[in-house]
Amino acid sequence: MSRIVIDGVHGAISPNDEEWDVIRSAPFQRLRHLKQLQLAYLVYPNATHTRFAHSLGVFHIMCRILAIVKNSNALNLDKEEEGNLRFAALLHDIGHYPYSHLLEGVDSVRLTEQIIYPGASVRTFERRDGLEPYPDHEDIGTDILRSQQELVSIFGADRAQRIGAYFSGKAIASQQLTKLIHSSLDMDRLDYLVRDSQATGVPYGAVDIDYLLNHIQVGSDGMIGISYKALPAAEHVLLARSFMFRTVCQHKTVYGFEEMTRQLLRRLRDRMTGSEPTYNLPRDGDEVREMVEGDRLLSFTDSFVDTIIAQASSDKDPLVSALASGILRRRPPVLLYEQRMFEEHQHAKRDKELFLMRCSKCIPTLAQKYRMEVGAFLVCTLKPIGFEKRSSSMGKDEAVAAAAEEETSEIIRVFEKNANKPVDIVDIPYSILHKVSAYSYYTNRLYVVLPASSDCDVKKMKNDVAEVFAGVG
Amino acid sequence: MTNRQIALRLVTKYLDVPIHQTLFDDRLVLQKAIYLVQQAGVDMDYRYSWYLRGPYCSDLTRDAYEMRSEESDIQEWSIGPIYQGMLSRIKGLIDELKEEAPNDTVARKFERYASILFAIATGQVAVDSHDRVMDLMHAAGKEYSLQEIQNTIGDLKKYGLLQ
Repeated sequence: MSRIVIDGVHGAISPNDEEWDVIRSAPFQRLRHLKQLQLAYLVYPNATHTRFAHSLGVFHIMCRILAIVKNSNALNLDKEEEGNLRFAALLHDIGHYPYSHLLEGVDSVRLTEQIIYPGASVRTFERRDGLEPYPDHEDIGTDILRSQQELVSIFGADRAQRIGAYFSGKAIASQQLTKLIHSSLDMDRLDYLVRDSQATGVPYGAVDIDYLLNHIQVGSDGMIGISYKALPAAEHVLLARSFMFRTVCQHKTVYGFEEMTRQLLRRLRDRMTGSEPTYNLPRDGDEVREMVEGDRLLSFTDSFVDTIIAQASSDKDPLVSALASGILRRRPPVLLYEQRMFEEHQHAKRDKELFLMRCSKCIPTLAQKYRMEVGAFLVCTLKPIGFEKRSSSMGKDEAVAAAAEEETSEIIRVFEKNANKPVDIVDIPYSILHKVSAYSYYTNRLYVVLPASSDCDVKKMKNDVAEVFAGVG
Repeated sequence: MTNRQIALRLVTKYLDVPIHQTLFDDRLVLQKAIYLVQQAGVDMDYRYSWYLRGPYCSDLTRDAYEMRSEESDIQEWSIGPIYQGMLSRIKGLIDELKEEAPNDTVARKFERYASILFAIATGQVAVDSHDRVMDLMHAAGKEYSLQEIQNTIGDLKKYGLLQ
């Protein structure tokens, strides 16, 4: 019996019976309770769309691509592999944490005091008290496929492992198609750009999926690329990502709330003492795995973190309660200083170091002057937003030298007129990417979290900060 | 330097694998050496995927590029005792792979060990299915002989990377 799901972005999506069983399963239904754009809904009220809808969208795009390329002799795709690739697209986000990267990345969060007080004279590189870091969501996804009974009964252990390898980029077979799940011109990106754009009302993500898919080609050596006719559409995808990230993900208020959440979760997770509440946050990666392999998976949703935030808002530690109640009551942190650059990597690196140095200089003074904890200041060096994987961290010459490396397999490739083999988009002289691929947007910010009862003179504090950053403080 | 870059500098110094490289083969050796180190239990927060030449991590490439211009030292840092123990176990294998051999370049050896370990560690093939390992490697364009595969798996077991 054929099933149809109507999606707001792609229209009718048609899974087969086996895929329908997976969609109906409780682990997949959990994705209905994970917001795609994390805390962006605090600024863009309609940005509450979920990873469930996004996963169906990615699945739909994969089906369309497979329909185009499956007859290619160079790819040598059999039925089983085709089925696995469809499942990999459907399940690529099955392992996401509540609020996705906010909780997943807790081990790499740097608390303000760690930034401004570098620590003792000799430090050791070692596991945190022998505890495992939180695994990434792709590893968790494979764990879920292999342990959740509903999915095990559909796939069996071996096939589950294989599908996990596809969506985590670890599959050795069907490399070219696997890379289409995660690469510059990937179906993940094609879906989220359009979906996020539609949900937020920010129009920059409206890329031309149909035109791109209709111009996919397979080369004589099995390399997948797009026809030269679709070059503007591919450039649009790379530019659209940059615009959407800057406007939505790195929006001053969205990012501020997300940084508050990261700092809060890290502080709670690190307590570990037993005398202070950790509000059921998993103490390490082993406990995360234990959760997702059992019944607790189904409650491991955004509500899990929402509950922690609500409980922590009355925590005895004033900093913890200020962070939590700020998120709960939608009181954004105050932006004290912002530095924006569009630069090659090496230039931006210098500016970032200077920014951190000045933060280290001014935060202890400000904390003392305004009677605040240093942890109330949020020092943020945002992830650079580049255009193409190759050269995002290199100068143009270095990027060309690196062209032979493995990394190139994730770059958009273009078939020039009558060519049998594609070339990298950054190597096409008349492509915008040829000119701008070595550049990225860099943003550094300093925020402060003020408790509701604070009588702090924000204007005065901003002036103090401005003096330091102008080099006169 | 980030903590990850500090760890990279500490580990490569300990193993005597240079970070500052201009040749493709040398960069490949760094990629595969760090993969083997992580599989030995030293988690440096590099997440590997499969690329044309085997397991590869673009974050590692970025860190290595960034550190080319870094001359700051790591004197205030040391490797903790747990990781020290893990590294000392894997160092023997890394040293063996760094030795030139006839008809088997250093880069080719690192690529073979890392690729075969990756295939088995990610559950795409069983450790005792040597024929299947060979088929999978051939499908990925790596023409290893059955003898090479058997020897590699034997060494990986000897150094505790496979059971």
